[in-house]
Amino acid sequence: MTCSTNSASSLDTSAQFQENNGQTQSTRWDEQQKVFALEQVCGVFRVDLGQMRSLRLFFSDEACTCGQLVVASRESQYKIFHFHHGGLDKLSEVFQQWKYCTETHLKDQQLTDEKTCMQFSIRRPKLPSSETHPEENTYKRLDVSAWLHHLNEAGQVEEEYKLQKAIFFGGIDISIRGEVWPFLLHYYSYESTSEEREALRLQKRKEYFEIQEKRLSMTPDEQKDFWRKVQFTVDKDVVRTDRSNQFFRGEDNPNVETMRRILLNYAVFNPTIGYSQGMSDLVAPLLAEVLDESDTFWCFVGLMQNTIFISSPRDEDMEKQLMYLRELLRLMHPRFYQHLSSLGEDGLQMLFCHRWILLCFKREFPDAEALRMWEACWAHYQTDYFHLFICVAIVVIYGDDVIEQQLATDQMLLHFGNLAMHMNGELVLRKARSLLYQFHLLPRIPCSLHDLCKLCGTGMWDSGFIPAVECSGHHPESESCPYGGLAEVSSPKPGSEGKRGLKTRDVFAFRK
Amino acid sequence: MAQKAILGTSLEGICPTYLYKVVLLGSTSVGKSSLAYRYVKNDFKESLPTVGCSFFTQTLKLEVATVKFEIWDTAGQEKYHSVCHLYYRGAHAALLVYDIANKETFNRAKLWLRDLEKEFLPDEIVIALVGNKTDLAAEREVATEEGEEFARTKNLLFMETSAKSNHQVEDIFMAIAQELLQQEQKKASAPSPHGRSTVDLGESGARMGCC
Repeated sequence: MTCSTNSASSLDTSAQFQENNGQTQSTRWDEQQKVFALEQVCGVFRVDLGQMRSLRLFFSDEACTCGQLVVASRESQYKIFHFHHGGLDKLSEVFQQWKYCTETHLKDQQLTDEKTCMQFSIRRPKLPSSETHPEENTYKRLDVSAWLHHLNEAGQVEEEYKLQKAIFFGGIDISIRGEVWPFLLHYYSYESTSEEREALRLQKRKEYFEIQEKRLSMTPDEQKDFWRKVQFTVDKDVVRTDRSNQFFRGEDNPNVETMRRILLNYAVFNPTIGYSQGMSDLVAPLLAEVLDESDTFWCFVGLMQNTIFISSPRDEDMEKQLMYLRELLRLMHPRFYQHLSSLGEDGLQMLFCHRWILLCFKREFPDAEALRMWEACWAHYQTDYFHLFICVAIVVIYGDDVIEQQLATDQMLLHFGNLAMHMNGELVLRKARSLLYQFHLLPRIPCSLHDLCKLCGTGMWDSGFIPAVECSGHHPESESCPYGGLAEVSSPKPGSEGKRGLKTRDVFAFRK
Repeated sequence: MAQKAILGTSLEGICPTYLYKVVLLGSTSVGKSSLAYRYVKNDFKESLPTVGCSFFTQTLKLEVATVKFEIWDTAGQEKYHSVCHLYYRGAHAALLVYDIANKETFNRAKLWLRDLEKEFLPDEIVIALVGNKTDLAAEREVATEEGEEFARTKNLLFMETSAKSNHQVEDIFMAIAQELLQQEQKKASAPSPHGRSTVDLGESGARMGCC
């Protein structure tokens, strides 16, 4: 296959697909030399499709003519061809006629008899209706007029649940992100009036500069310690964060310095967290939308406090996330879970998704799509852990190769690592919403997942239906299930907690 | 990649293939990811701070054997170490990277070595001390001799590199490959060589015919 890697056009019409290996060694050698030269000089490359793992077509338009062709080698190297102006449909017909291109359907759960044979799968831009959230497409992007509609005369958000739902499904128009994000990030409360918010901003600005003053007036010893623990890393990170973003582009861009100050001040404000690599990734988009330094700082404080995917690489936080994710996979994608289990402890560590969780997909999708995901998570619609549903969605959509080819731990890391920036964010987000919906319909959930809706009140079961909680065992610290989960045969027994528990917990305890 | 797919079929089968796990260690922003990127893709780009773990492979064809490197890259910040506890496990070689234009990173490399010494026995892992960023010679804070001297006392491989200007990047990986292969030879007579895995190439050679 001959084709220019960097061109964004359709396949070279002279592309040749070698269908057999009948060539003599000598011509083959010449060919190799020629190809080698082409590769070196103009980025042209050639692959023997017989040596590749799969061909995948991802359509991006409803007519199924444009999209991407992804060629994956056995070593999980990917070549991606973008078809912006149609033609992908024609190519798919060609593939369908090839004798060794087996078209594996999305839902085809069976292993191909011959692993070495090529797989060829076609992904549709739309999920089948059985796989979409029934309220999908009922919300438009939240624009200025829609936003104003949510506010009353005093500037208070009338019904925050409605707003959160609208954002969850439709996202926020770029033009008003800077205005709406501070609400989602708990800087402004939904009940606040415009006037109160202005007063708050002034007060918070004063506080911010007091924090900065504290940083600038450290003793030499403190300064040294601060430099070693925080500043050393921050200085190195800010200059390489989001520099391709227009807002941070160019030499001596003052916005880079602003980002630096915010991070340093944050480390003074919250010395326990201090600075962890990845925080610059999180603060950069906030600054680029919110613009004001102090406001951005306080939004960032809210982000670190109120979102659960916070950039904390501490073991216990990560472990909790991974535990939930494992349980969700066990429930919603058992084949993948089985594969992980078959790899033992190493597989269940799911190294491939640590970055997804720490940076909330910022490095996996282009900014426009990643920020849509942030907003959907920040909306806290029916769950505080929507990011984990996004993780499951990615695995459902892009993890077939992993199962079919029984990829080992390191190969999985390579597989998903190579997919970064090449996945369809819109599709993933739709799938994630649909997974949340399916989860919501489950007649019973394991007690291990009880807390998925802890922070957002009654959470996802507020519409009348409440699932039973089934105790999955393992509560080393208490005799009975702290969530009132019932073992399959045991008689109903109220939950042991109740002091700080939510109403829903009591209900769980008595339901079967 | 493509090149490998074609060339790597008919000629092999005679010499063994070894799979080695190599980990990149060192302070933040010393160029760990850039070294990996240069070695694997022969290119240089300013990279974002590494978060989590990433993983690259590169195959090296030597006269006596084929070496397949699995190169693990992780964040330089200490806080992340515990996240990647799988990172060290089963490593055959480690690149201990520092920035020649930043003395602090050299000091931190020494700390990393102490960590490694806790995890591995001396003959269990090949360690290379790498002074990166020789393109910043004008701002040098660590003398070549200083690195050399430290490497000698600790019995480490040593090389100064530049991922940016492609200086000695392949060489250091080559040196590691050779050191590892030498160890293989030494251990060949011993009954059970540790942590080594041989990939049977007959299998992948056979794959080709069936499609």
